[in-house]
Amino acid sequence: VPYFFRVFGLLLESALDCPELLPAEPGPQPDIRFVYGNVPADLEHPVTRAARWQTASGKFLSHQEGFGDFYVHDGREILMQPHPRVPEEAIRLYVLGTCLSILLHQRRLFVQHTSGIATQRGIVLFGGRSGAGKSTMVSAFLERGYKIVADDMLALTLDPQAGVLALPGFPQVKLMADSALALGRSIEGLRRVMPGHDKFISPERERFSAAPARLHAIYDLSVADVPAPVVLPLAHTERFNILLDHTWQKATLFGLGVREWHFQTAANIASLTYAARLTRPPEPLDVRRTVDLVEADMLLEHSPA
Amino acid sequence: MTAIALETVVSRAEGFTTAPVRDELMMLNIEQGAYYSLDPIAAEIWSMLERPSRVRELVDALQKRYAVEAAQCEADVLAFLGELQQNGMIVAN
Repeated sequence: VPYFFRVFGLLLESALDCPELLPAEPGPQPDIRFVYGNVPADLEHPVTRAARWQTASGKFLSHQEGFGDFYVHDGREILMQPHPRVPEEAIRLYVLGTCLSILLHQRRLFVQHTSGIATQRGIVLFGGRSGAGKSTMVSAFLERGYKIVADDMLALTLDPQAGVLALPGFPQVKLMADSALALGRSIEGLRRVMPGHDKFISPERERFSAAPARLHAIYDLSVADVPAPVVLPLAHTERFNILLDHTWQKATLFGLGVREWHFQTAANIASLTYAARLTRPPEPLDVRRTVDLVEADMLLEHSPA
Repeated sequence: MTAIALETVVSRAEGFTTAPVRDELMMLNIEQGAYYSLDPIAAEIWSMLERPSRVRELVDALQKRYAVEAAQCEADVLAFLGELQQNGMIVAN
């Protein structure tokens, strides 16, 4: 019996149970499918060939030694052939990360490696390097009564009405033990991302906003030797740069045949969206002060000009 | 690589695409993924190169539009076209 989930506004039918996703009513015509089966050894006419993966127009094939083989194709299906002893949570990390982001590229959805929250002005995203504080920001905003729309993956699409529409991802937050400490949160009872990892998953179904909504602002988080946190609006070309920086699996865009589309879409989103850089001092993170600053800025109207 | 002079005819190379971001023009090398931003005057020259053009014609047209000395305009245009050529964005015939 397959499982059904709603993710990025799409109906997913999956042979793999994914407790991190929002369950959905079964439907006869799912938008996307995760299935088990035999993965081909090679693509017919590969455009890009790396050591462990290859791409062709609309196709991505991955052979991970000792882990498994995966085939993501036509924006519709992820075919999985994991090695027998690989735990399901490891398969899910790969399928719901790399594979799903590539499937979204194939569907021409603009995938961002960002966390995000819903506000009365629209969706607000937080991007930045690993450790910059993406998950910490959404966790702190959850405590202030906002709802989460993404922890590390979110899709954008151009929409005649909304301008840029944000499609929510997974109802969970992944937190490092030390970030939880800075937030005053207990990690007791939380599942680890992987056995032995210092990162924990906090399910957030009750505090998740699943409805696609207008994108309001993007904050790029960075850490530098500044005396206090500071928010500075970015010029349009810098907005374009961060949209490219926040893109999942950039190396596959050309082979999938979507690089030009991706570039044009980034330019459109950069023209339509307010973005700013939040620079904060190194640890210890002053969560309250940082979040106060961002909250005041994100609740402004912000014309994209 | 042919050196570009005033009488050289230059044209756009294949494999690039552009997209406006407010008052700048972003340009992508589709195969390599490298991208560049062109300021408004650079973008104007790029737009003039939609058809193969003699460098002297580009210089004349720009001089008519902007209050710039002939020698300065020539030097600036030649330097800019040299950069485009280095990046494989135009070819000299």
